[in-house]
Amino acid sequence: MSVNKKELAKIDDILEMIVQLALGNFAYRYQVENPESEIENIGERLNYLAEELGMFISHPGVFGIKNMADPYVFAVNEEFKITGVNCRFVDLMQIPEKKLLELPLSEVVTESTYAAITQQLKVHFEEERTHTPVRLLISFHLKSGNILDCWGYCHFVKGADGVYFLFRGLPIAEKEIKVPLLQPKTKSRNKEHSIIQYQADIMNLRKVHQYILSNLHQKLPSLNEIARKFNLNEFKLKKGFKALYQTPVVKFHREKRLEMAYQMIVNTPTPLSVIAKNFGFMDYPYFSKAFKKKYGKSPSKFKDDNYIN
Amino acid sequence: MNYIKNEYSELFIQDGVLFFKYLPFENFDLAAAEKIVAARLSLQREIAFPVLCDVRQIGKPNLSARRFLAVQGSVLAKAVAYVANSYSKEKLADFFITVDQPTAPTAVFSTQEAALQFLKPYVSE
Repeated sequence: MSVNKKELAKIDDILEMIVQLALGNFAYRYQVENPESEIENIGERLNYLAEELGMFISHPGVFGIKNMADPYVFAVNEEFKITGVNCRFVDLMQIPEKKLLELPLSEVVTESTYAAITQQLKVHFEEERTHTPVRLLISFHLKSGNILDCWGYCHFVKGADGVYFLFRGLPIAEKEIKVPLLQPKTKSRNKEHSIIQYQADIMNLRKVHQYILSNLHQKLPSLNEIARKFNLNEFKLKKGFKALYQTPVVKFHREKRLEMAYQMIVNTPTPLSVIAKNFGFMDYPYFSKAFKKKYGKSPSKFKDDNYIN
Repeated sequence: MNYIKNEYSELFIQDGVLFFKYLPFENFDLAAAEKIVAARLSLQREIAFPVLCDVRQIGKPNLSARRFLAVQGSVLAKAVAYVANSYSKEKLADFFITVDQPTAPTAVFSTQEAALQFLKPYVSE
């Protein structure tokens, strides 16, 4: 197969995309010029992969490190101008401290990050939740032209001379993804075997996830039965599923069934008792109670208020 | 009512099959996916159908839209056959089936005839 110069350049871009993914930069995107090109299609699939990985790795549930080693710290004022930085931030940004100070935040983060931060902080502080830090994903523009993805917490600080937002976090690539409960308590003598087993458990947990989604119309088998069906033990199933999907198995099954029921209630004339039965709820009162807990209204009230036709 | 057309799609029921055609639109996000599923369910009312889904003009659904379509998008769908007429659309559908894993039986075809053949066992007498 002969490849022309333009195609070769595209292949280079795809290889760069792969490198960025390997580095954990899930915000990187391949620029598609011709969606019908077979080569560019690979780039587009990589963009989707980056989205999937970004969602998987950066789920809010994996936040939670309070004692970060050597975090970046910077502060911005109400006008979103940088007013303070630490050495780590200066190192990461590759810009001298003097230049960084007074730069608008929009100059150092990507457009989408800036929009997300300003929106998130606005909502958070309008609701007067000033005592809780805001969890953020921040993509910084580096001087080199690269993008650096970081985790971050934003704290609201009220000083004598005004209000400040204090950001603190770590680059994603440096964050250790810990799923300790999936690992055996005693270390295998064969390290390679442990890693393979660990990956196999994750694959099995993903199969459990898909199995639940494909069987929302019926009652969930016992955790022990599910564990045996997917070559896991109950402990790994419970702890591993929660670590991967940030929700316990039983809750995930209930929530998804309620979401499906929601669609039926809002968009079809199906009687509520039939909907409850179709999604495997043992009886209507139980369904009604669970629905009210999730959506704040009983199914009948919800239907009265929301049924479209 | 046996026909709906909105800014996202055109759909009708014929011979026990729901024919669904994506129309070209910008920003295929969660809000669009919710409206797409709502339109299909309101046409079906409470009856499950096999769905022939013409994706020849589909845009690029984002992650939230794909997740929603894979789960909530399978409500009242006995099976889904995608009809794609190009390499890129076929691969997009393949990606969706493999990664997002819709809960109804789903396959991609290059012709409507082949898609209908796949759906035949799911058509109610």
